[in-house]
Amino acid sequence: MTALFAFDPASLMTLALLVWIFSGIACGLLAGAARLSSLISGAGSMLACAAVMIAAVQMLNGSAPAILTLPALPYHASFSPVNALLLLAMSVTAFFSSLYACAWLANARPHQRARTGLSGNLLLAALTAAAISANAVELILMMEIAALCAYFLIVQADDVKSRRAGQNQFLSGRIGTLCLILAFALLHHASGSLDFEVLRHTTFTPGTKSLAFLLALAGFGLYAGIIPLHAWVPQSHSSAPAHIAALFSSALMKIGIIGIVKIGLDLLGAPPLWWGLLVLLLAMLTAFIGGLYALMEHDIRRLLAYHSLENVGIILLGIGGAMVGVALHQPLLASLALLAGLFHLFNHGLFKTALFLGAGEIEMQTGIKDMEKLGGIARVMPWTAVAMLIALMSMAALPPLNGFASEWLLYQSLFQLSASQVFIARLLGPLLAVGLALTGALALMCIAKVFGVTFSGAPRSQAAAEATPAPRAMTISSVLLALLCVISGVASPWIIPYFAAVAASVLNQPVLQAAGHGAAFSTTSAVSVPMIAILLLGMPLLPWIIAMVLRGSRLPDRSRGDAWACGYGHSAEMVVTATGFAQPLRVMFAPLYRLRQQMTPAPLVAALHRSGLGTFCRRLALIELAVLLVVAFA
Amino acid sequence: MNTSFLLADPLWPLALLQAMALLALAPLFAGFSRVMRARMHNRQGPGVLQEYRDIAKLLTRQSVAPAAAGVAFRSMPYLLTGGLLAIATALPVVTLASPIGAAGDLIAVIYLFAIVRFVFAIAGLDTGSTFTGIGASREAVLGVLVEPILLLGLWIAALIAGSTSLGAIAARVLHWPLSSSLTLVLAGLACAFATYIEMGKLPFDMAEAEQELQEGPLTEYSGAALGVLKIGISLKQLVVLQLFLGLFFPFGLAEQLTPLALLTAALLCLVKLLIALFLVALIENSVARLRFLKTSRTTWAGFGLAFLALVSWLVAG
Repeated sequence: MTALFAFDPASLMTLALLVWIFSGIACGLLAGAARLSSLISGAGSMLACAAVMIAAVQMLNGSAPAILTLPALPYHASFSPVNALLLLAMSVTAFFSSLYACAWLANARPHQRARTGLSGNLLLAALTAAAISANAVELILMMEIAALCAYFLIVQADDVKSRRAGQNQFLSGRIGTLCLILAFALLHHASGSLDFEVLRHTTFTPGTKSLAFLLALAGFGLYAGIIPLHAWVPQSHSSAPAHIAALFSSALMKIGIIGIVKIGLDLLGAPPLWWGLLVLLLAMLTAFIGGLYALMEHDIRRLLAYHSLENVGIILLGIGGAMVGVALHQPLLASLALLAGLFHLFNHGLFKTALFLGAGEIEMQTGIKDMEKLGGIARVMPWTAVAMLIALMSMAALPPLNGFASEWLLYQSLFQLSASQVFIARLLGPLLAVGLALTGALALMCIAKVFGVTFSGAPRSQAAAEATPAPRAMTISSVLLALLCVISGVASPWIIPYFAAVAASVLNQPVLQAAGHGAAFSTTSAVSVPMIAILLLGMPLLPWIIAMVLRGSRLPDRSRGDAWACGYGHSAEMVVTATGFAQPLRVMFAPLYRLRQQMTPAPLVAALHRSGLGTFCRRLALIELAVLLVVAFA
Repeated sequence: MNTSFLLADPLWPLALLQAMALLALAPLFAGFSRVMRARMHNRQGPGVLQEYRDIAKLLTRQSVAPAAAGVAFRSMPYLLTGGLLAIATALPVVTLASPIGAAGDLIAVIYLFAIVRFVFAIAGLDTGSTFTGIGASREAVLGVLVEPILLLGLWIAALIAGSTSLGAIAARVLHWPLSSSLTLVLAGLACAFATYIEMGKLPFDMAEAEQELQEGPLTEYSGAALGVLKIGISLKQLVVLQLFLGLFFPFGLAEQLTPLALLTAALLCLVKLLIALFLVALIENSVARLRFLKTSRTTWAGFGLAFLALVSWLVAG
């Protein structure tokens, strides 16, 4: 038994969990004192995140996976590199979300503060505990607690939209849990144990394996938001407070993804080919439809939520590629694809959190979520604009940012998939690459829309014109995350080896050499992100110098008056809106957009959203959360 | 595989030189296109050097912008030109291998083009003008339509070469694999189609359509900014064309770095560009603009070509 206050992962994790729980409770009790309670909750959470970060780095550097009981808590923890990676991805983003929360909670109503502070910290504690769980009972219990906390965070605005969002999330979460319970019950029936360590070394019959895999894929897929299991995602990201929405994307959905890695690559032994192909197809569907639907959204947070789906798809492309690689006995493909997926998982957390926090800042200063009514925000909130621009560019995988670094690796693994000897892989590889490129082009259009309509041009409403910069803590949190995006992109050749080590530990293979000499490479090509960064920074100087040399007697640049409108008077209504910007694609992809209406079963939706059920869900959630918390502490 | 060769000996001076040479030549080729257009209209037209004179004049004039325009609008001409110069350093222009191996990867190049498109689009949205906004929207939509064609075409060529680096593809096409002839021809045709769209010539000059959109995102530019932008747009046409020519017509590119080989390659490169521009001018002056919302029907043809390349690659192996 390790000591409680030592500097090893187990003690640090215990410390983090306790700090989260107690600071959350303290925030709930002291909700009347605005500054004190928000400081306790936010700073406590930051402290806990820092502890988890240190623990995760120690685990990444450490060797074999270890199972031990956390000191002072009756909890079995498994410390493996992939768990550590998940912890790192969650705690880095949660750290900045907590910094943002300090300022947000101080400006919230007392009731809201108590609820957000308590459930937010509890959510983080549960997710962290789920990330290091050593058996299925713990995993499911903690995921369930996290999902219930998320429910209470979603429904707090108490309007029709958030009630509906909460109900969707509540039902999805319960179905997801049910699928997971069935999956692990099946495995328990076959092996007699629920410990991951035992399951890992048990051989199952193919039938059991496949059934358990499908059930677990559905269960984890509901948490991760794989399309068509994504019903809870868009609206819940819009209804919860911004920093909590960031956590949904960067932590809650990631638990689902890592769950798929665990079940598909780790616990059940070598996956058959069709598992990988199934994951690849679902991944492509999720990425493409997510990107396509994002384009039509006006609510900036719903739009970002759809992009989270797109990124979940991109991450799963890597994971599916790894499963296919294992099934086809192509270790290089498997390592590269898993490396790309895990690296993108980490990067997505960084840029998506920056985006949600930035969107939250705008919402707080203007009270507007609809970007049609914004415009010209870059003038009043320049730092937020810069942070959002960088994060948006990362999201569209533009070099030299981190999204590009991970997507490049993914393209390379798809290239290896295409070059495989198996027909289905040769067929799917190029098509998936085209799908990814198409998704990238849609994302590019979408970020141009978000940045152009929200931050540039003239303000479209009084509130947007009168906005002021957000509190400093908020701005700093999003700017620092944007900075991390730049660093993790430009310095990717030095970061990739760590992810390669994690991928190798999941696959039980030697570490893939995928970076060196300042470049990332696969067996087929290489790219040096730092070099591209230098080129992109240096090259614009050349035309600038030419313009300066030929300056002559030119007058200084001038900005005034309205835009030209063919001689008519300019009016604000003439300017292209977000809807108008995306209109051509609505026409060109009309059948795919109609799909949404056609595939939604209207009678079912109407039945689900009757008011009686909402109240029932709410009471049920409260009772369930109370019971589960008692179970967890016992 | 030992990939250090991609980084060990980057030909920095050559990379920068070829980028600068393309920048310097861009207005000349734009002027050549103008002359071709005038001749096909049975007009006399201004001389080949007219573009240089226009740009020199614009660069000494004041830039005027609407009040709503911000940093994105101001910096776009430089960022656009700079992004294209970054691509130009990585292309096989006179050498068979890309002078900067570690940037000369086809995925990297496609995403660098995406940056160029992005700055173009947000500058269009930054002015608060109707025409620039619609131009920005059209530019982004064209990206969605073209990217799959370009990527699939290049991907198939890369599969035949066994590598996604530009140099490897060029080298493979140079030593033409007879068994994959049909595949390469189809992939080349698909890429030619995509290249033509990317050059922004009729019938695909959607974003800058003069009559409907008053030159789209360019509408509000004036003076020095417009001058730089004019260089940038003619550079874009040259870079896109050279990417295609470098990959699918690498004949005559220098394999060894001898002065004679480099000189021949440089001359051949100019000749190839002139011939290609002549063909482009022939098409451009014999068609009318497409209706924008119907463009997707035409681009399906390009994707069809790329898909046929995929099928023939699957069959031929």
